[in-house]
Amino acid sequence: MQATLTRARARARGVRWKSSGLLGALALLVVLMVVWLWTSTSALVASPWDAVQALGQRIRVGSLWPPLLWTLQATFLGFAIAASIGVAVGVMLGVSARARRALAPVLVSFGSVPKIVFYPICLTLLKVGMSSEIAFVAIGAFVPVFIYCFEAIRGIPAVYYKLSRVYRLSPAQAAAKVYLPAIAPGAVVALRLGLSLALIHAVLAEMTVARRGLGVDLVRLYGRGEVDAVWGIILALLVLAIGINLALGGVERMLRGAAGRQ
Amino acid sequence: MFLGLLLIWEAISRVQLVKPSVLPGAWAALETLLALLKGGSIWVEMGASVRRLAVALSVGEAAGFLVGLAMWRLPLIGRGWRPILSSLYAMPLSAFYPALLLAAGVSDVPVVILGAIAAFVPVAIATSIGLAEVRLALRKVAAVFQCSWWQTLLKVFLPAALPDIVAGTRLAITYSFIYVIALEFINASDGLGFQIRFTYEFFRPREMYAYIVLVVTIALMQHSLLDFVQKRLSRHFG
Repeated sequence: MQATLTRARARARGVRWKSSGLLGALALLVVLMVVWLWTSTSALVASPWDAVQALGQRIRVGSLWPPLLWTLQATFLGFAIAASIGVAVGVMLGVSARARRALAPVLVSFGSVPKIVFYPICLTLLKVGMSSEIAFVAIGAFVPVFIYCFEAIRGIPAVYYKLSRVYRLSPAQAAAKVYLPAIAPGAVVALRLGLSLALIHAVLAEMTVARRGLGVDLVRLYGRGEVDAVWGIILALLVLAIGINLALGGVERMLRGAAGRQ
Repeated sequence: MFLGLLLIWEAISRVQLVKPSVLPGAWAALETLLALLKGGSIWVEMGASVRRLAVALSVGEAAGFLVGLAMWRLPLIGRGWRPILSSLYAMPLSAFYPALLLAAGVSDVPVVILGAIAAFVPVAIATSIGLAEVRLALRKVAAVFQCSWWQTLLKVFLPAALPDIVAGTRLAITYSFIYVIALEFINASDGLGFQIRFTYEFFRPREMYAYIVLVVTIALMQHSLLDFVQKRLSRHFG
């Protein structure tokens, strides 16, 4: 009896292991690690260990922080601008059918344009520096914020509108208790994609025409042949990007779980 | 809407809100673009970008499709790979560009590699999701007709998952075009992205805006054309 139970429990655990996909994820990470180790036999790629050491070195000396802060500042401020415009436009289009028909296809198709072509325009209008980078990051992050905001509002079930009328909620109450929780998961997706794109565009801008930031360091250190330091910075960017993605992905799953239970 | 934007642009430069030497009017840019199109060298640049896009896209699409199939057939890797692949979206892939440039030289290879990765991710994810969400009824139909595994895949699963695969492919086209232009802008010897960088650095605003208008037009045309194709397809497959 005891043995059967243990076996059943073990089998259940096995199923959970498999369905969580953890093994597969680990396998892929191992493969990626092997690829990294294999490529690091060339002089152009630092081994993971050297990269970590070089990154530690830059953290100790303090040379990581100024460019990191610069990049983060451009990322977050650019995203903030994109988010405020994106949410405003998203709400407007979510509410008004006429605005939606006129503007939505155009704004969505803007997503297919390589935003880098607008960077020289930002540069000529705002000069090289933080403001042009922020403007470019805002352009780069705008589309997903707008699309997900707009989709989230359109996705509110019609029953919810009735519900808030039946309960005679004031507009403020309805927004806080009904609409905001309903669009929260979509808003987190917008946040995740928008922030990721903001970071990508900040680094992109810095790798082309800029004076400060992680992207600038990346190109400059390569020019000087400091391969270990370059891979240290790539590692920092990886951790940053994947950290943002996983953290917000977790928040999203939590919210969806909460919405599902109600 | 686009005409409106062009008019606003023209108006800004007409009233000289910004110095015309920095921001030429929309009309001037269009004129320059027409002249360039007649001149012929712009076609070479366009050809270089399109060539990179085509190679990157076919490699990424093929790899993405195969990995998507694997992720669907083997749930062990399917669930675990999806979050890692979607994290790849979030990665600034351009950070790897300098290393690739040093390894392969300023050529098509580094651009194609990163462009292919950008195309690979959405195709793999869309293919695996599309196949996993094929309705049970369809699977039963295949079982009733005693289709072989191969027939089931070709006649039932792939057609049923086609809308998802097409959607993934559209994202792939968009992403690899974005990456090809951006990487050319960082460092290349030709291509549309390179030309925008070049005309910016050498302060030739008229040509720069002409190239910008061209890239935006290509992207929008690609988008609306595939919108049309996709709508046709979805009507066909209901």
